[in-house]
Amino acid sequence: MRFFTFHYMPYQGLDAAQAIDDYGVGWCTLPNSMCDPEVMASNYRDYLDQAALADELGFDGVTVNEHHQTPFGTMPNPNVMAGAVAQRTKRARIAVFGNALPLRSTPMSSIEEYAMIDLLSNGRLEAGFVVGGGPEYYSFALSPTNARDRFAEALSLARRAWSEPGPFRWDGVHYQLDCVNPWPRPLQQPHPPIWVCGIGSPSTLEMCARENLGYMGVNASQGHVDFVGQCEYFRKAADQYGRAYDPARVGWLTHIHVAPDDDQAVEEFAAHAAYGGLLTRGFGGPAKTFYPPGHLPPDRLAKWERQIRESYTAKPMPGDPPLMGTPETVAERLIARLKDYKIGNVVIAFQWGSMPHDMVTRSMRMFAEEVMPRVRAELDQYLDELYPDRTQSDMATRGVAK
Amino acid sequence: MNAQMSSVETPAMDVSIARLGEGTPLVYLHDVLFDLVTPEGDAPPLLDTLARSYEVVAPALPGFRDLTQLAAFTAVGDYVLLVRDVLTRLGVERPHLVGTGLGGWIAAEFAVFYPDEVGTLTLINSFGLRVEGHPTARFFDAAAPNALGGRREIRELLFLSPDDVPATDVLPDFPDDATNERFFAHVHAAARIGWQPPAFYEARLLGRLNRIVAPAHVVWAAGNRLVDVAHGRAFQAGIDDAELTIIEGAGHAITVEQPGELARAIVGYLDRKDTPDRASTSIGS
Repeated sequence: MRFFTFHYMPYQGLDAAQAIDDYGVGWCTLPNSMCDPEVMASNYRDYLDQAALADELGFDGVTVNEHHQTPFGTMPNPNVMAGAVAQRTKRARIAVFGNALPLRSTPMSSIEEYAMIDLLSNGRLEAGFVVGGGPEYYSFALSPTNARDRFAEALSLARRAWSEPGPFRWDGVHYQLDCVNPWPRPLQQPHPPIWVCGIGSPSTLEMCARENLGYMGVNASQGHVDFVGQCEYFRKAADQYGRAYDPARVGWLTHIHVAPDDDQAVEEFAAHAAYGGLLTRGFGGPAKTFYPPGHLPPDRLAKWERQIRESYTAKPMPGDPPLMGTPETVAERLIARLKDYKIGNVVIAFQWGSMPHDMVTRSMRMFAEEVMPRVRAELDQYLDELYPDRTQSDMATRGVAK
Repeated sequence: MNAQMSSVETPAMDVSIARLGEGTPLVYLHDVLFDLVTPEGDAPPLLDTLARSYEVVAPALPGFRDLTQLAAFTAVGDYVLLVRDVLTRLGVERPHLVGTGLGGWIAAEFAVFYPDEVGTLTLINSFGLRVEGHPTARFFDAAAPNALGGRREIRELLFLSPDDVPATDVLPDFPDDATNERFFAHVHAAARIGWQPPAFYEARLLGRLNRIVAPAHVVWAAGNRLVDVAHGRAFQAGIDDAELTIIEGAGHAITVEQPGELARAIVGYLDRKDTPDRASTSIGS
């Protein structure tokens, strides 16, 4: 079982409620005059300290990720931050979940930068790739209608560029390159572990199982039952392609907040999550710009729209028990979740919204000292019984912290 | 009137064709929403009326029947070639070419690239131009999923009276999944060339309009909030032989809000232009 920390690295200097009142949106068009560079620099310092702390506390990895034109996540190039994290950490894996390939004019810049991170970190990179969020197709004025096609081709090109000696030619539909020949080469050979980050599209799960890639579920508000379904789908697909299911190839993103008292944990989280929630607002409706045309197939859009509406209008259903509470509470709930998923990676966003540095580090410490050892032991045993060959996984054996 | 449905094979895709009425061929290129003949052959009122005077030939544009068709289409030029392939396969020569919105853009591009193959050109509330100071409104924002707000925002953009019939009939707030899926599919199909550059234009089209030689009729809804009348005036000014008709009482969705007025304007112009030479054009066997 591997434990990664996750970070959106939000800009924390806004009066978020006022900003959303004034502009109705936390993405794309929220005026950048509201970004105070002094505050941003100070936030970055805290966040890098949190990455260094994760390394000290024995987390298996530290995660960065890509967002554009929003205070929600301030790493338009997560590779820059990964380079900085490489210098502040010694043993933790450095996961980039991920580079939004279709937004780049070619995937070659990603390939080059990933090799650099891998070299700078002494082979600690987990190389994640992602289609990119809906708002980014507004920000970049790129057609979302062929985003998935561009992504698939870019990923094929990236894998070939790492696996085959250059130079070679690439005559694709979306990319045409006379000379694919990236220097330098990554330290991990033939390439760092490759992850596709997604929100559960059957086509994405199918591709990961078929191509033997890691699947990282990066929707932190994912319902428990939905994610159980995704995991089952992945296992069935792996089976269809004649491959033994490898728990190390699936990961799950979640929020966790640990405090000395259950109520205190829930209250602290709620108070600071509101900031993050406000920033996810789209253009006037709930999360509207998250799904520009073509980013999801029409049947999923129709279903999504109906489900969101039902969730607002129906009586509140008992939600999944939140992973907030004392170490005891969090450990029990986390073990139950992970056993249902049968996966080998959990990626945890401790910081969220406006949660301040001291509260984040307290929660991280309590988790690392009192929750992680127990969950790790129990899940390792559970997965060993289910999948006796799993320790030979090429994904699991790289740089696991002991 | 029920249209006769058929399919023609082109190198890029099989195109679903609706035909109705008799007379000189009038090729109609549809918009994003509302004026597409259904797969069962139900034609919108505008085409019904036009079919009293002409043989209306209405192909379904790429993706509007099946999104996988979009694979072969990335630029407006692909659509122009598709229209030419359809005309060639059907043996239609120098037709009256009529297009609304998205279809108008493709019709205008076709007339630029194949000026001698167009009898007359009718552009209704057409996309396609970038007009300084009059940007096309943000269609895809208004058409985005909106779980709580329903379709109010897109109705407001497309209709003069967004809260009344017919707007609320054709774009209801919370439709069933199948209807909703069709809506998103049409928006998706339109986004293939409409999204990039943002909002349905080809920056070079304005400077190319003078290549059009066919007589052109530009028809605009006075209340068009999506592409305002300045676009109609720009089409008229750019095309050598063009008339502009402005119709009151409608927004961009003029084919639904004022189909009768619109049909009268179209037919009135074509009657005046229908020279013996053009009247002899016909569909081959």
